[in-house]
Amino acid sequence: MKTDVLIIGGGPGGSAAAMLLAKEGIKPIILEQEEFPRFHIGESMTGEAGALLRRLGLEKQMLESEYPVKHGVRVFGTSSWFIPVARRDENWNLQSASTWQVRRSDFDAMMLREAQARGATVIRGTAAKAVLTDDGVLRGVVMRRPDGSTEEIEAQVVLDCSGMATFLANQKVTGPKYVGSYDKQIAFFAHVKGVIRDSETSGEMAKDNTLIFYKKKFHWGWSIPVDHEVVSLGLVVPTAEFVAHKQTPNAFFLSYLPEINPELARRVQDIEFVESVHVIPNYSYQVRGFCGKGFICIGDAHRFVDPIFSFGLSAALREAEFAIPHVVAYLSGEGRDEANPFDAHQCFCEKATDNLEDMIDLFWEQPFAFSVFVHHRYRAELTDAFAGRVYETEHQPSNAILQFRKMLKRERDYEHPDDYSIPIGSRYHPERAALWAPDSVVETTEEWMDQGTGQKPEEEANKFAASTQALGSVG
Amino acid sequence: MEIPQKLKDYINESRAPLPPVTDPDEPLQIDSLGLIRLVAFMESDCGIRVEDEELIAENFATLRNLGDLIAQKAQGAETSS
Ligand SMILES: Cc1cc2nc3c(=O)[nH]c(=O)nc-3n(C[C@H](O)[C@H](O)[C@H](O)COP(=O)(O)OP(=O)(O)OC[C@H]3O[C@@H](n4cnc5c(N)ncnc54)[C@H](O)[C@@H]3O)c2cc1C
Repeated sequence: MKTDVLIIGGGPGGSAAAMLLAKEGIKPIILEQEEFPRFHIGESMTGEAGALLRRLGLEKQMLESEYPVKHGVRVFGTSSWFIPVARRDENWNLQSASTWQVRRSDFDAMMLREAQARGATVIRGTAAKAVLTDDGVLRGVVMRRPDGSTEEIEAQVVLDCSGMATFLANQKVTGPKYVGSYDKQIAFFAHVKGVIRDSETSGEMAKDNTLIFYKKKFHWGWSIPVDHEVVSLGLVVPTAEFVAHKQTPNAFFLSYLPEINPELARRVQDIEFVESVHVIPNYSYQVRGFCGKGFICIGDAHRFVDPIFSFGLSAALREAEFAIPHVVAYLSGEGRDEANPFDAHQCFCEKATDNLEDMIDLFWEQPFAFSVFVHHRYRAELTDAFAGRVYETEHQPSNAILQFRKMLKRERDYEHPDDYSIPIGSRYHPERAALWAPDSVVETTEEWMDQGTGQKPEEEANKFAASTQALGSVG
Repeated sequence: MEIPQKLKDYINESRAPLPPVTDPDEPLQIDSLGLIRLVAFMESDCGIRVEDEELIAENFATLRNLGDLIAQKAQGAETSS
């Protein structure tokens, strides 16, 4: 089989890429291994993710499906704050806006259906093996159908949208895959009924906002409504914490969730599980050299930092949009002689994710400073970042991000393609960067993130607890 | 370094209904929103600019820490001028 563009994975990144290609008159093949609808995590969208859906002409479907409308993010912890969803108008003034929360089984199926309706060929099958030319250039993949039969699909460009499966990285077509900074965290989540929500229809107290709760460094939870009754609840802690409790995931989730924050405890007093608890450990990683001759990795297929501020879908959708002009140019013959025809796109995406990473890191390292920034000092800049406007075409890195870097004592350099966005086994110790492995030994997150202060992880954690206790009660 | 009286007053008001602070080492126990307002007050009413790097909870934990911060800033201003 032959095609111009082969998309591996029919998640939001893959489907969006297909719809955007269709607009350019290119009809790709999407290879998806699972029967849809299927469960997936990642339910809260940024403002820009919602805006992209509108650009794709999907607003009507979104409204008809009655997806919960998100007006902002409320954070409860030693410092508490709210950031509204906002867009920028033509004069770059902030205007209030809203976006959606999605039950992914429905949303992903809708997206894939739309991609198909607009001309993509959807094939049920697994990309099993990358096929290279004699001089090592990606030429296509071998796909395996559910009945076990195989066939080669040849393509001029492969878009790897395989999510955490990171297909091309596993096939060693890309550069190495490294563990990310939040690799020592573990996430538990489930759909439940009976969570107490806020009651208004817009603003800070809107009933369908994303709520984030935290206790101390690296211990947090989320509440994201997926319909008028069901809420996605999540809990993220250092894996070591879970191991030490010697409990089943279900028991740990139920007993630990209320401990995260009194405000969360209040909201989950009387909950009923709609399904059992899902668990994802070691979710943080980074693939180097994720673009090259004939391929681009999009979204989770090359990098995932941490879910705390709901950037995953936004990155997958937006990277798909940013990639398409490069794909179109390549198909028309441009850049064929270059070692990496998608070099510019690669650096562009890394820069944006670096901005997010610095933001998440500062949130944990300096929660009080972060809250002052959110409240007034850099409110507009952080409103942009939370809306997913983190690309250099969007006035980034903003003064807020530059300040985060200063406070984290971190420099970012994009002059040298081989070492920008240095992988961060511990990002404070680039030399410790480790290759990602599914069975990496459990270390504590604190140890992993140790800034080289020479202090024991427990001392670090206690110091953090002491300094935040001084803040008194939740504001 | 002496903490300006109006700043002390402001802190005591923010702490209400807790009694005014007497011990320089007792935790101020101002909630997070209160602390954010405190920073704004220091800047607008006391002319003390708090740098981003100084926004560490510890600096605002007790009167002593806050006094140290202000002293340090005053010293920094002297040596740089
Ligand atoms: C705990 C947690 C919470 C999160 N919460 C949020 C959130 O609130 N908001 C948010 O925006 N993001 C969140 N995310 C991130 C979000 O889930 C992802 O970023 C998003 O799903 C990425 O989309 P994608 O299209 O890149 O990949 P995916 O959605 O993972 O889609 C990949 C698709 O590829 C298919 N596939 C994989 N391998 C192959 C193969 N070899 N052949 C064929 N098909 C294949 C898979 O079946 C899948 O359908 C969260 C992540 C985690 C871990």
